[in-house]
Amino acid sequence: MRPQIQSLRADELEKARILIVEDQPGAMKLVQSLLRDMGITQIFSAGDGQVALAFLDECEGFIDAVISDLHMPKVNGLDLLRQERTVYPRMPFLMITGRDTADAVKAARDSGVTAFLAKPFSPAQLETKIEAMLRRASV
Amino acid sequence: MNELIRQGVAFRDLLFPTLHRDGRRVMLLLSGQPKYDAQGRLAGDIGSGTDITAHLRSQSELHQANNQLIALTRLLKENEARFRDFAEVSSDWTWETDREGRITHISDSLERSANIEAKAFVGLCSGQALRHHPEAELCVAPIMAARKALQPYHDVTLPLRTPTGEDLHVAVSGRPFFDEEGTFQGYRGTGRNITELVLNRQALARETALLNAILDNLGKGVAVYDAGQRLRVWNPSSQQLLEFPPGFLRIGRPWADVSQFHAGRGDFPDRAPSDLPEGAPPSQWNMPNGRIVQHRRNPMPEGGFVDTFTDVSQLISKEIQLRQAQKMEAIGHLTGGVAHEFNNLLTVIGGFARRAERRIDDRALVAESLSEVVHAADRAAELTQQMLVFARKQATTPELLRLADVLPGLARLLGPLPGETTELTIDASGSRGLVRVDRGQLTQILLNLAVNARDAMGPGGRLGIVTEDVRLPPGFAASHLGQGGGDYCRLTVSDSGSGMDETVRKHLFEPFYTTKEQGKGTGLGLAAVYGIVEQSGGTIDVASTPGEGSAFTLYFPLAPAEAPAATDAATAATPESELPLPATTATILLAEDEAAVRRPLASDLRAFGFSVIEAADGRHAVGLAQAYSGTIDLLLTDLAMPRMSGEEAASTLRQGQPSLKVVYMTGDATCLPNGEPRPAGAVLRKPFTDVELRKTVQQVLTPTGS
Repeated sequence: MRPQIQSLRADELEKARILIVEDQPGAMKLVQSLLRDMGITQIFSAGDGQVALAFLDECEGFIDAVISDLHMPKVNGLDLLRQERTVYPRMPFLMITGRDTADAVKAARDSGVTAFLAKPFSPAQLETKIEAMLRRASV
Repeated sequence: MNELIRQGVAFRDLLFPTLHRDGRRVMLLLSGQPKYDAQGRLAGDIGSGTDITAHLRSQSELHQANNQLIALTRLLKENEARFRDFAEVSSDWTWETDREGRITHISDSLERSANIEAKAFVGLCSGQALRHHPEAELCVAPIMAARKALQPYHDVTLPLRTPTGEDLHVAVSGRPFFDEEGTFQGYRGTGRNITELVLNRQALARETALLNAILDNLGKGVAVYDAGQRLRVWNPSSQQLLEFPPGFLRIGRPWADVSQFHAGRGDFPDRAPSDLPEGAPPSQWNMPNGRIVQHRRNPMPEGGFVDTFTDVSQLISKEIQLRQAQKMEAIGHLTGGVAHEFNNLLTVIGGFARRAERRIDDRALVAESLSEVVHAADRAAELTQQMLVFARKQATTPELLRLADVLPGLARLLGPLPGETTELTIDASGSRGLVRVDRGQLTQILLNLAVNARDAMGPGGRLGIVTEDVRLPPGFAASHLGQGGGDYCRLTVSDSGSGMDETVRKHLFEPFYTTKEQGKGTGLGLAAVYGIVEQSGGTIDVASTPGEGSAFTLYFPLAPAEAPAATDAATAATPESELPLPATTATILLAEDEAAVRRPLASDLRAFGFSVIEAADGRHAVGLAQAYSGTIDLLLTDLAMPRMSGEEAASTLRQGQPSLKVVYMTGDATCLPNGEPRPAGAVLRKPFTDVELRKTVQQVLTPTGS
């Protein structure tokens, strides 16, 4: 049974390629599960920002949206966003925030993040954000 | 003589001793010649006699006098020689002046002693002899005064510039001399070169002034007592710091007085310094105005001692501030870390729970989600456990262990951990003694250290675990908090990894301090290690060189030599898989006031094959037990319950059945039963898994020694 998606068709969701960047295994698994529940099948995962950047570099134009944690080792979500924006200025980018400073959040906003989602979040909140992002991108 | 007369012989100057009429012995000098009568016959003798007695006596006196004179002269010569020798040998010189003060004589010693040719001075007025030195004028005044009054003078110090330009200091003594009529003839005296003495005295005065200046301006108080424990020297700071009444300190004041004064005012922390063993660490005295003064006593080689006093009030308050700041920083780390960790886990738990809720009919999805929820909950439980360890509030069940026996078992556990290419060596050959430590915590320590070591090493690293018994000297206390000397089991975990710098080393044991990537470490591992080691009465030492690796050295105090308890030996030797089969016939009385907790527990226990009687609190349990016709083997009870606590229930039931086994369950590690002998009071810490429940219950039910 698939949840009710009103604005995006199932085939659109199936086409969408999403990159998840998250260092916490539990949270990573949760996001993966929830995306799958939405009907998104092409999910790619990176454990940190560095891997994500390498991946984005490798397959140019392949990914439709990025969901990234802000607080990560090595290359954090903000660094990832800034570098990504130099290549993909308009790609949907959902920043998941936790125990983060207002400064970091503001910096992400200034760097052109598409949306924020604060931990802990419900499945519905995640779905709404993703839907909105993908819809805006497809317009 | 009569014969001579008779024979008619003339004689002359014949000595004739005879007796005077008055009986005196006299000596006569007689001369005589025969007298003949007319017939030419000898008629007699004509002569004269002189009494020479007096003459002879004066002659003899003269002779004697002469001899005396000779003797006197010899004596005089001897004396003169003696005094000349004295004068010549002496470093002092002698001098003489005439009435006008002109030098008429000066001995050669002057040249020897002062390097001035004596004759250069002869004929000079004494004033002229001194005139070269600019300061001489002032110094000759006492001499001038004495001379005016024709009085002697002694040791008048004069500066003297030699003809070669050398500046000397001389001490001059002189006295007037007079002729027989009492007429003043001049002065005679001695002189002495005291240049070296004067220079030494001046140098000493300079040194003393310097020392006094240092002592007076020293912020520290200094008091010096001699071998007789009497005050010799003190400085103004000691007076000021120690707040003695004015005039209290004086030279010669016995230490006993001073000590009594301090004791009376309550300055000493506990023991008076004189009771302290030599080389005791400095003690801190509390002064009436609230100042804290650090006292240090240093013995002197010839007896006596030097007391120094330092005002450490500011230092201490700074230290307290710093410690407070560090504590706040640590609390900041802790709360931040906890918030972050739990936020993440809540995200996972809440997210998967809601996912399951929404898709409750999709069994596979629900199962998968719940598994994630359980996983995250376990992780959260682990986290709280580690935090409790750090807070040193984790309930422990320490047992007597021989590390040499435990390490091989741990090695299996560590085996897969260090990574394929890491070489793990364990050497427990030097460890014989027993330590009292919680087995689970020991495992945790080693796992934490091994994981850290692995993360610090690339492929091909070496991880070494060595344990040995050591005796530590008492001086060990200085470098390790609170640890005195004694027998310890030393456990060293060393790696050939990247090592760490000073900053990392300083924060190493702080909770939530981590150098690892997010998700790899909680920052609680070493904080927990620290907590555990401290809890075991041990201490921990870290040595590290960046690029060369690190070594964590743990010291556990050795337990007094005794055989390990039978249960310890049994548990030590029994791997988990070899536990005896459950005593399925056993009856368990389960007391738990939370039904939501009690019911699943009861069903778990029944599933293991036990008979279970459920009670809602302690009093209920006691009532049920009394009503029960069979035997209750084990009481499994929550500690905190309304009406009657688990502990009370256990002790009530034990009165009727001393052999009753008890397992307590608790979520609050701070309230553990006191005085319960193991294994009668085993403890299950909430949350626990069904596996832990089964294992604990089985272990407690297993007869000891079997």
